[in-house]
Amino acid sequence: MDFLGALNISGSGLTAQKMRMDVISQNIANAQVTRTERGTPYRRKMVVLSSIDGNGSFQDALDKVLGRRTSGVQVKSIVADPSPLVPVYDPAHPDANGEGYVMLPNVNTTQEMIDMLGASRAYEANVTAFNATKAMALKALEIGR
Amino acid sequence: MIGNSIASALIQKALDGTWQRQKAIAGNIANHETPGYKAVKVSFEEALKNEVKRLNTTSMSSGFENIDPLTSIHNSKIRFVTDQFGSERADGNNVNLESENIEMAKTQIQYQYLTRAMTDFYSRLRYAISEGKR
Amino acid sequence: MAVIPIGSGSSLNNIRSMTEGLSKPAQPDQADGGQGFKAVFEQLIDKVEETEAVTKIDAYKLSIGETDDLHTMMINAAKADIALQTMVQLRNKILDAYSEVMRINL
Repeated sequence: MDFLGALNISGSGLTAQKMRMDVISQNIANAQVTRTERGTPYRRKMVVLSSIDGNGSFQDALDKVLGRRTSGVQVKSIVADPSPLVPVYDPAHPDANGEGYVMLPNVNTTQEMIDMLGASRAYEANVTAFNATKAMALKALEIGR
Repeated sequence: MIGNSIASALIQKALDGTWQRQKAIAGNIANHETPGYKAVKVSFEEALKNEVKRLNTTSMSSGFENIDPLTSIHNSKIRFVTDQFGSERADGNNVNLESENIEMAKTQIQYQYLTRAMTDFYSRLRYAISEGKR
Repeated sequence: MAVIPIGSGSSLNNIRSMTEGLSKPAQPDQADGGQGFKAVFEQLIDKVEETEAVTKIDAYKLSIGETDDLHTMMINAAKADIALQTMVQLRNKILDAYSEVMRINL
């Protein structure tokens, strides 16, 4: 593991939570968009997190077998939520279809707010972990002083 | 020459490299909003490791007749590499503020450990020279 | 590893030869199992060489950035420090004792 790899692990957590936050903000901002550049209503985006697989080196394989590998987190992909769009009856709307229904994005703002709290708490937790690791390293510097 | 041992040459090179890395990171953070700016990374560990490997193999076969290990460690390269492949934002800037901050913390800690290691070497040497008398 | 030599070997050898001369007259002390001054001092010298070598390898690993074990490195540095100080102080005491003995008027 490179120097103080634990800090990189916390860092990967910070990056992942930040990206999650960005996606949540995008969902909230676009919650009423019926016409994206493709002409269709906005679909809620979700972030898929996975742990980092390592870089295929011998050291990685050895660590994996010995159970010593610690991995960070990465955003595997950002996918569209496949759940159905919400039809709302509004014949006066410019994007209404033949029956007078407008398809609104499948974004539940309340759910997004809850996710946002989750992402923000996770971010704080990673910062705490980072600071703790840094404090430990600096404390070890005082051994033998 | 006393004090110019290989270990202290390695630490010195690592201190140089770490210092340059800190400068690069400061530049990246300062430019994290600049359109089109690409993050700069500093690399010296691989070069140093390969240099030591090379010195090991040559010394085991022919000894140190033709190369001065201290000079070759001193000449090991510290490279500034522009990161062309990091994910960009809309304005072409690819600086990730989180990872720059992390790298900065790591670099600072590494620098402190290196200076502590150097101090320890020299203080032991000084102790031996002064024969333990104050 | 070859490039990180166990330096200061020659000066330690000088100290070693000095202890040869010192302990020759001390035959009666061999009765306690041979753990005389000489053996202790030689152990100390070995300890110093050993701990110094470990700190040199640690310095290499730190420069390469390939270490996760920072507290162990600090402990090794402290051990090297103590080993060296013990040896130097013991050497001083030996020299003092020797000059004390030489000053005895026979």
